[in-house]
Amino acid sequence: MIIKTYFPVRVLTNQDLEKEFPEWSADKIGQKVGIISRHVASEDETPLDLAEKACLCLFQDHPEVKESVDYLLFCTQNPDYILPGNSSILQNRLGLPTSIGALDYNLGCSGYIYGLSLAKGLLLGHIAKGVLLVTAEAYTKRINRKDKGNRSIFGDAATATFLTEEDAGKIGEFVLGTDGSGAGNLIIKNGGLRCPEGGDEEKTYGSGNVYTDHDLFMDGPEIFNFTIDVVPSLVKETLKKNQLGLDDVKMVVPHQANSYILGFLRKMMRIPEDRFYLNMENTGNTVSSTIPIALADLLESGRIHQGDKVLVTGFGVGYSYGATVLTI
Amino acid sequence: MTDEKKIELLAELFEVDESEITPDKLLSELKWDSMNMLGLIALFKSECDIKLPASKIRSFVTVNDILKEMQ
Repeated sequence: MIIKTYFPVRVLTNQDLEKEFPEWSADKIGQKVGIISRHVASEDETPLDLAEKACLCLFQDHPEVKESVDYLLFCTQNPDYILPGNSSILQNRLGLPTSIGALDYNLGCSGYIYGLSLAKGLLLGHIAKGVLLVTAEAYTKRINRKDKGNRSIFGDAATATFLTEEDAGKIGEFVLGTDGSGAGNLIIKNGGLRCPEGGDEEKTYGSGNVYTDHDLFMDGPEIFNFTIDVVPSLVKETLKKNQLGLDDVKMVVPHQANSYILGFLRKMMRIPEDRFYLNMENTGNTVSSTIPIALADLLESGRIHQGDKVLVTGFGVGYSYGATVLTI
Repeated sequence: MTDEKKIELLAELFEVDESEITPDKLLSELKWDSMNMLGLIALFKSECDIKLPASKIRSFVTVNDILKEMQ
């Protein structure tokens, strides 16, 4: 498995936010949520552009991969157009053969886990020999400028993961879940057919955060309750399904939601701090890209090695959640 | 849970002296922000094993509203 990441050049620091919101201690919030800075896509930069750059980085370092891709999976909730999907446009931009399969799927923080499950099925079902799994998101474009809470949490990024049949054999059993009763708690209402327009009036929530129906809305307390309800049992079930104990796992890599929530979940699950990976300090919550960013970071820094088992778990918008165990 | 323990936990959450945690104190006079709402959820879960729905949190006006829910 090869993973490459790409971050937009523009960086938004807590100090930048504090200038915009002088009454608000961005640094203090930063300490609590574990984020000091985050990358933000420029005005004319979309997740598709970020994805293209992540893929080009991958092809540059591993030129042999380009010819081996025969299936492209593109995870985003912010495509360039309603139709066609980003995956078709990316196939053309990257110069991949027209003989490849390609599809978009709309998931957020669980997106990488679902992507791995799809890739495993495609590879072990002999439908594909080389899957390029792309995650790309730019939530910052969907956050109201006056929503300091979400602006402090989310960052933009893209990742590209290449998987072969051999890699698929190292992806363990999955536990997946979906609970649409939480759909309204993390939502952008407008833009689809249900709410094509309206909802222009500004509403406030939390600590004076402002949003309209055109913007991202996240009910933080409800999302926290969802993670408390779901994540500990998800991790437990995943270990059981893979016939492993917590001690068999070198590292748990959760979706990097924010470090306050993750710290609480870690204590609930009694996972030692040094085996529960947090790395959102300079990237923030990049939605579907947090897990591959963390994996790439762990591989590059030599904190995980060949043969190590890593439990990965994603959870969020939908609600949608999932987990599996990777053997590196 | 004793009243003293409840007040100690809330003083820690709001980062104020225990003397400031009085039943009739308005939450708006304390730091009643998103992070402290998450902190209250964590406190109820870890100390009382109670799930605190967002709608309940938003109905709290005074310290007493919280104290009544703590067990």
